[in-house]
Amino acid sequence: MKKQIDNAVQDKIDLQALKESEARFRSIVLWSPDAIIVTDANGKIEYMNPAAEGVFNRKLESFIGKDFGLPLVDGESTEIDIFRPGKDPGVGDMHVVEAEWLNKMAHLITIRDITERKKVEDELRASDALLQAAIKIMPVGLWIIDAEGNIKFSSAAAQKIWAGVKYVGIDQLGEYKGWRTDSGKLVEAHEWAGARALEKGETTIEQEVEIECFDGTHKIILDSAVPLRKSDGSIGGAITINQDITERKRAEEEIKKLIKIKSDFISTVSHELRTPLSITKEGISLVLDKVPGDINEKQKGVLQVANNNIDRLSRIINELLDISKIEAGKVKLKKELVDMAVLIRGAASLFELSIKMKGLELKVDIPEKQIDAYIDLDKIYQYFTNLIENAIKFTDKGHIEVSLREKEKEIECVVADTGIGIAGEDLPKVFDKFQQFGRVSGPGEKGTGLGLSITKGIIELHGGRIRAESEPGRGTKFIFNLPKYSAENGEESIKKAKEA
Amino acid sequence: MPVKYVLKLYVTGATPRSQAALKNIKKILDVDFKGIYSLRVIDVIKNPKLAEDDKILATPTLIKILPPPVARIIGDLLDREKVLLGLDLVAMG
Amino acid sequence: MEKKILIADDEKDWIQMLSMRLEHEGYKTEAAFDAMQTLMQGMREKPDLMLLDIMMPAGGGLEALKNIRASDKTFSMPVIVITARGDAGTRMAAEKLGVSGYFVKPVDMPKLLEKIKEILAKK
Repeated sequence: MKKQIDNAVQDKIDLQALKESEARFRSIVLWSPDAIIVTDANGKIEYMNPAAEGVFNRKLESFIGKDFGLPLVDGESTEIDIFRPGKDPGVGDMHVVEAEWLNKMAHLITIRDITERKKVEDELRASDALLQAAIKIMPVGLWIIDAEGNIKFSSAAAQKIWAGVKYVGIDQLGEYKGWRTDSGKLVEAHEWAGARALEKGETTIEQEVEIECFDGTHKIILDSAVPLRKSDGSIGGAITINQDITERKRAEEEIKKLIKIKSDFISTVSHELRTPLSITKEGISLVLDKVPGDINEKQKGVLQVANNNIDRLSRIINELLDISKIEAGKVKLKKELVDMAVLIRGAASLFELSIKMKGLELKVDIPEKQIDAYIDLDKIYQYFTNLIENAIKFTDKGHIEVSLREKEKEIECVVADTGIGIAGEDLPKVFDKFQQFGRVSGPGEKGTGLGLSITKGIIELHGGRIRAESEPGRGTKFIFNLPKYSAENGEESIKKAKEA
Repeated sequence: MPVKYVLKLYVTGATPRSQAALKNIKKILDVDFKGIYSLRVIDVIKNPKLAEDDKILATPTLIKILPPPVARIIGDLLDREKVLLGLDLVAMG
Repeated sequence: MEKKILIADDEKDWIQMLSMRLEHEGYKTEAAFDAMQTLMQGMREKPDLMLLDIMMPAGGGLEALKNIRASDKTFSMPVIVITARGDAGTRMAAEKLGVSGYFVKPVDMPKLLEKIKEILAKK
């Protein structure tokens, strides 16, 4: 009897313990945020916890009894794509254990929704891949130096530039041999841009250095570096960038050489042309002056045409020489402080008579005050009067207007006419050499076609600029600007000159 | 030679899991059932209705239709033994 | 008495034109075709004025000018340079040696004749 009672009590206790553990189990299953699916040995769904509806984003009653599939897991767990109609697919981590369920073999499947985590991982991987790709395709060499001053990474391009790489610390940076192109001095280990970035937090932009690569060849590079700062502001490393500019430098030298060759050539040819030119001119003059004998009117006429053209030839040669000197940088300006108001007004008044004689009006719009600019007086005067001459030449009615305006750092002068104008498609070429646009000019000297390009050259040599605006049939405007002060001294030079 | 094995593979676009599943199952089928299988690949993104009808919850899900009985496995398809076992298939030779 | 002008230039055509012009103006002309001849003619003929080119064989015009200024027979001879070389360097070198005029070819003939008249009037 006692045994029976004992057994009954024991059973009751066991049953209670079982009920309690079942309850615990049930609460775990019910409250788990992960989807828990119980399938039979073949994969048929027997139970799905409430969380599963959230994970799969739908009501799941109709799935009970349906096939989930035999879950195959590689190792501890396996990733799967979660099908969520009405939502983007998710990613899940599927974990499977075999268990006993209602006395049968069952699969206890847990699926954790890791969609968010995956998204972040993918984004990181993508941006990392992007960064790697960017570093690879950049034609510049990149080094990363860590906080201790050791070269931690050097890109493929970096190794190509230097024909190799040496993973050294800052103290041994001298193994990278280079000389500054401006001073010729050797770049010491701690003077490399990367070292200065790391040790002093200096940012270097494009320091020109001639390097001796690890294979002995020499190249010219631009050395740049920035420090990498940590969130507390301290320096955590540095990035160095090297750009190979050897080819570019070679090309620059070539161009300089070519300009000099061209300039020398024009110089030589011009000189050679002058002698036969002078002989021919004198020959024609002699006959025109009847020195070797008398000539009739017809002969005189022919010779006069020839004479005019000899003069034209002479002007072309002079101007060719001028422009080639400007292009080769051989022209030295004699700059001084000049009152532009006086200069422009004076030049314009020179032409008053010839303007009036052509039946035109001269308008002068110049403020009644001193407007100083730092210029080569002779040259600016010469080419400014050229502009007025041109204006008169191509205007038959209306007026020629000369105006001067003072601006903050420059002066602006305009020579405007109401002449035949320049066609739209010709306007951009107006400052090119030998451009005359087929304008049949009136009587008077024929231009060489070089005047405007020399004018532009001289003005640009001053640091100024010139442009043309025109409306065919309405007129043309030439607008040029010149700096008021010299670039070096700025306003001080003007003040001093005024006090002197 | 007539097709003896007809299978359906549900994938989700071109996720790494989908790509791996396709590669893995093809490897297994081409070795064991070369020339006599037909594999239909269904993208749940392109054909959600088909997936819903088939009561698909996640991919990769592989369903064997022929020879009967119908069998379904889900998850990692790398292990040949497990796959064949799960599909209730016996390899030739 | 007629004034004598020595034209020193290696271009015979130029000398032909220039002498025709000068003789028309009433001057007598002599010619020298290189630096050596220039010096020798200068000392032998003792012209009243020399028109000197710079680009000449056998030393060049500047060399000839230097020697002319160095010799006591000819050091005070008036010289006008007529040359195709218009650069400032040559001009300065010539002016340092002492010239009465510097003309760049092609020459402004009226101005040249004016200058010649002026110089010879002083003598």
